[in-house]
Formats: sequence, structure tokens, C-alpha cells
Amino acid sequence: METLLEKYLTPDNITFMLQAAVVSVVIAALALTFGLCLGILGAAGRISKNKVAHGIATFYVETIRGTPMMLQILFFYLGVPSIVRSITGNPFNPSVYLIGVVALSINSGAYTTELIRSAIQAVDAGQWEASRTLGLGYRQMMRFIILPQAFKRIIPPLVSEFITLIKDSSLLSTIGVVELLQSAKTIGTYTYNYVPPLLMASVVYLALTLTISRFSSKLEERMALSD
Amino acid sequence: MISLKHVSKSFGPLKAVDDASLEVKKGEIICLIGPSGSGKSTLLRCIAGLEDPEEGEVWIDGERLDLHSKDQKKLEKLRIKMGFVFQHFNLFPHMTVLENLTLAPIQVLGMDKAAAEQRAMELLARVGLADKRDAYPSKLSGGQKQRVAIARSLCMDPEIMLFDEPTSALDPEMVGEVLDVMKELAKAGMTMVLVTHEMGFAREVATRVIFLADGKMLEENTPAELFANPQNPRLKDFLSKVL
Repeated sequence: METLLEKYLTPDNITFMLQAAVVSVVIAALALTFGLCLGILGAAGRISKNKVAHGIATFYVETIRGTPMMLQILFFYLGVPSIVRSITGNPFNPSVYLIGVVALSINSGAYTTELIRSAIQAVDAGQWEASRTLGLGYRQMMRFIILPQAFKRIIPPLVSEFITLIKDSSLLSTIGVVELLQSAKTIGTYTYNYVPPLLMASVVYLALTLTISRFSSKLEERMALSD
Repeated sequence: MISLKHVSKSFGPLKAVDDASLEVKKGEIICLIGPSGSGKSTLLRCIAGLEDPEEGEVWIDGERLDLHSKDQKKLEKLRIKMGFVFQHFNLFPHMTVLENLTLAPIQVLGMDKAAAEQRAMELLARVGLADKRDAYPSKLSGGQKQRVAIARSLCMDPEIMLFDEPTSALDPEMVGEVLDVMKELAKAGMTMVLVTHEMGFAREVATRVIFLADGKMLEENTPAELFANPQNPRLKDFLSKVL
């Protein structure tokens, strides 16, 4: 036991792993942010009466939710560069970190779209009616009445989306992004033993996800107070 | 002020309002009564432009209320001639009482904040709730919520007030405070159309009572006549159950 600890919990390994954990969190946070932007656009399309906007948004959501995330990552890693090369004739080799953020953002955006759409539609119909009888136009109603109420409902599921993204960012290890899982695999390769580094990575993942979900339940309690 | 011409509205196979015509003059107080499912609320919602009748026309103040009109601005102008009070209040839960009252005057009428707040406070005082200006709706009783909702409608200076069962969702001890506010409005000369189960109120305040069943307007008269001498057998049956 003493030797195991000495062998694996070295300052170098710990630094390496924590740096990789920061990469995981940053990628997840970026994907959540861009995903939220995509989700706002997507939800606007999904509730739009414009057939084209509705069609595009629906196609986006169904395609992304209906295919494996691993496939989407590989599509951006292997597919997109070769498509771009065949069109422009020049080699196109974006950083795997950029590819990772793009793939995860687009994936998260589809789920966030549905989350926002359902939160908007969950606002009581009476709120729409009251807004209308007071003469508020569609934009005013959205801005002052519907979105502020929908926003409250979006926060808790958005936090769990963040947790999902932290875990799913581990898939990026397959394309060479040095995130938390990849760091564990690297340490395992050097030491010929994967068990200790995988357990160490688990502890870090759990520390992250449990902290965030604790924060989330605190937030929910606070929001329940103002209801 | 309000003119309904052969209005019909169906929900699927159900004819909720069947060929209803009605003229409401300034200062009139019309009570719509009838068994549940008789189409009273749907009729009122057609007047307010919350339902789109598939047949007939709704005219407000000499202008057609056409929900398919391309001119949304004109439609909004027509809408705000009418205040609407809902059975379930529909206050905005994320805003204080004062914000509930001032939102539309500021955003729709373009009033400045101070003027809108002053007007809101006058109306809150009128419904007896000036001390609740900073409360959120969830902290109010049902009767208080409905009085705030009435004040919110009045903030838009409507010419007509429409009430859709304003006391039906209230505990019995709170009905009176809401009816008092409505009586006071009636005394002040407001044109009102209301769907109600409060026969006492209809008898005391209404200038005309209309009885509906199965979407049809079966009988209308002054309250004194209608309650004392009902003609239609459906009305007789209805009155025997509610009075």
C-alpha cells in the first residue's frame, strides 16, 4: 500500500491529473455556454410559426439526439477536415481541443434547445392570455413575462447538463485531447497498471460532479424561497 | 360599445357558442349566467379576442376585432379598450404587485415610470391594497390577488371590463371583498360584462342578465324580470337549482 501510494500519488502525477481535470471542466463550461446560445436559437426555432425555422431546429435536435456522441466527435475529427480539404484543396487541421469544444457544444445545444422549449411551454397559458389582454406584443410578452419565468425552470437542468458534459468530455480522450480520463490512461501506460490512475480519475470526477450537484440543490432551495 | 354579430365558436365537435348576437351599450352591466359548459366563458373570451370565432364578427367601439388582421397595432389598440379579469387571476408571479400594475402602462402606453406608479398606487388604494405594493402575488390571499388583478386591468384605463367568473376560485369568505370592488366600479359607470355564478350580485347590479345553455342565448331580461318570471324551461330549471 505504501509503495502504491508512493508510486502513483507523486507530485508530478497529481499535477498532471489536476491540469487535465481543468481541461475537462473548461471544455465542459465552454460547451455549456455555446450550447446555451445554440439552445436559445434552437428553442426560438422550435416554437416559431415559421416553417423553415421550425424545420431546421427540429432537424438539428432530432439528428443530434438520435446519433451517438462518439460518432459526432469522430465526424468533426475525421469527417469535417476531409470535407473541407476536398472543397478548398488545402489541408485543414484544427486543434483537437477546438474540435472537442465544437462537437460538445453542438451536442449540448440540441439538449438545451429542448430544455428551453419545454420550459417556455410550461409557463401557464394564463400568463400569455393576461399579457395579451394587457396589450403586450409578442416580444414584450416574451421578454417581460415568459422568459423570466422559463429561466427559473432552466437553471436546475442546465446544471445537470454541465455534469453530463464533464463526464462526456472524457470521450474526447479518443481523439487525443488530454483531459482527465486521458491523463489517467497516460499514467497507466507509463506504469503498466491502469487500476490506480483510473481510481484516481474517478475520485476527481466524483469530486467535481458531487460539488456541482450540491451547489445545484442549494440553488434550487433558494429559488423555491422566492416562489 | 360591444357588438356581437352571429358569433359561433366550436371546439372540435362541441359547439361552445352557437350563433350569439349581443349589443352592449356604454354603462351597461351585463351578467352572463348558465350551467357550466353553457359557453358563457367562451363568449366572453370571444369578445376579448382570446378566442377566434369561426363564424360571426366582434365589433368594439365601431371597429372590427379581427384576429387575422394584418394590422397588429390596431388589434392591440382595440384589445386594450377592454380589461379582462380571469378566474385564476393570472398575475405575473415573478413581479411585485406594483410591477404587475405598471408593466403594461409603461411598455404599451409609453407612460413614464413615476406617472405609472402614481396611477398604480391610486388604483391599489381604490381596491384597498396600497400596503401590498411590494409584495409578490404568492404572498397574497385569493381575494387580494383578484383585487390586484382588477387594479392591473384598470391601470390600462379600459372602457369596458370583462370578468370571467372572478369569484369562482375564491374561498367563500373572500368573495365579498371582490364583489365590493366590482360594485364600486359599476357605480362609477364602468361598462361591464361578466360571467358569474353570484346570482345576488347579478340581481343587485346588472342592468341586463342573459341566460345561456348549450352555447345558445336562450333568454335575456332585466334581473328583476328574469329572476321573477323566467320563461324558458331550462332557465326555470337552472334557477331552481342555484337560488
